[in-house]
Amino acid sequence: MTDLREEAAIVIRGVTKNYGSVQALKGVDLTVKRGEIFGLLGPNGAGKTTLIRLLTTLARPSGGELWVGGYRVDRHPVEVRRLIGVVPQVNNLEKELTGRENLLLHALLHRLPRQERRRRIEELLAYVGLEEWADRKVQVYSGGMARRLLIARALLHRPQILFLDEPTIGLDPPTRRRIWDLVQRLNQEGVTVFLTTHYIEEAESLCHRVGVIDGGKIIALGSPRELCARLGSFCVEFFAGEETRRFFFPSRAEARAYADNLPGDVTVRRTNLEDVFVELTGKVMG
Amino acid sequence: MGWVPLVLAMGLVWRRRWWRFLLGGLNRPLIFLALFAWNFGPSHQYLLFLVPGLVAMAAVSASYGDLVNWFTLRRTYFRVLDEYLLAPISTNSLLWGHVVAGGLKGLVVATLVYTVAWLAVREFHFSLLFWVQLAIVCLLFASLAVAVAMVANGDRQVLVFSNLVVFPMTFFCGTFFPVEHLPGALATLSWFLPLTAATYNLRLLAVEASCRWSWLGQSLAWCLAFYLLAYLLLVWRRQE
Repeated sequence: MTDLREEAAIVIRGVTKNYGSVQALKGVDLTVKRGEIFGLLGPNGAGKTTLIRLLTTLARPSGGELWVGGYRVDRHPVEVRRLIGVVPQVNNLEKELTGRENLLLHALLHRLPRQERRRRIEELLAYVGLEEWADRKVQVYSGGMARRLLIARALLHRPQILFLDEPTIGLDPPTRRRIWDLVQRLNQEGVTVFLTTHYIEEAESLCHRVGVIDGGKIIALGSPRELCARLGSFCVEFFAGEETRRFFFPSRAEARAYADNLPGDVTVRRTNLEDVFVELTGKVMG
Repeated sequence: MGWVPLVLAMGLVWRRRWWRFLLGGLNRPLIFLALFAWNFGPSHQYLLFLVPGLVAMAAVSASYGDLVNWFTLRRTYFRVLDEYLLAPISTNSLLWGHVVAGGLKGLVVATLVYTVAWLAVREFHFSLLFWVQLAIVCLLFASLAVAVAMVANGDRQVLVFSNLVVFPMTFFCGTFFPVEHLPGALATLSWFLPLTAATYNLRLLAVEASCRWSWLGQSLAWCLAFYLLAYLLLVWRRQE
């Protein structure tokens, strides 16, 4: 167990979090390996942001233990903060400062040496494609530009683990895909990524493993393919009078055979994470 | 020294609107100075009494007013405070950095008020202990600002507290008239407010260049108490 805590990027054991009488997390257990892109998938209010706030030292758990980069979060918060970068769900940039000044602010807070500070800021502005906007105030940035600047800011001090809370929420599809490319590039460079999302497509395209969280509990864990396979890799979908019904089969042949016996319009397709989520929780995503 | 980058970072943000905070801080004391000097005529004695009080008032409003809004809005509305909370520094450095940055602003504004007043009445002394006492006032109210911002749920609550407690305090702590002129128990009670001893000591230091150590000690004790309160509330917020 001790080895796992030191070797894994993130270890969460029996974590609970109460806000008054509301139990936001009800005993979460989770391990994220180094170099992994891990996605926490769940509807609004499932506990995703709460878990990120606990992991990033912004809140304390009511019970249980969290380890990040080999450090227990409640005992070594300063060490944890050195290891992590955080891209929050809301744009919390200083709006009256320019993009470059926002990065400088972060570099000062993280005590980057002067020479490295300058070099790293230029490097990251180029990395996220904001060189031409670097000296304009953040208040004129579009949502996608602000999001890219938030990512650049989180990377400035070379974190080993990057937390992204709903990184593409409210962004148009091309910008969303650009952010996904950025995340994948980072991961290829060795950064462990922990992201929360309620976009199925995001979890499927980006994540090596996915945890489904609902009502403060992890209800499923595995690679997108594994989770779909557990349900049945192929889905037969048809509208039956009042509602759409779905049945799952391990092979396309079995699904096709079943579909052939049904009247009306019937679709046979691959099972996706949304099917997994709906079957597990009875809720619809998005 | 984890707090130094925090002061630099806050300076970077304030650099963009230095003129706003200077004008905002100078506005009230200079209007009072002009109005009272006008109303009472060229009463030399009253100006000697009034100016140190106005310097204390300027120190309070500049170190408390800006920081309490900075902290509250960044915590509850813009969520920018998370960026500061995620810096790899201890809670004490985080608090001390904010208090020093807020206190420095108060010191700058109060110094400007004192300098402008000195141009009119050139009898004031610039002793080292005067600046020490002034710095204590600034740090005291910067600490109070953080404490208030930790419990306020928004800028409206801050406004209510500032208008009902902090702003009246600047009038009843010997700034415009001696507290002995207050009726009955109020005269005694005012000595239990955090600004009274400091205002009297500033006046003594400015006019006679002498210090009453009990007053200095009293304001230092208030400063430490508010700093401790702000620290405990910040820890409480972080654990929430």
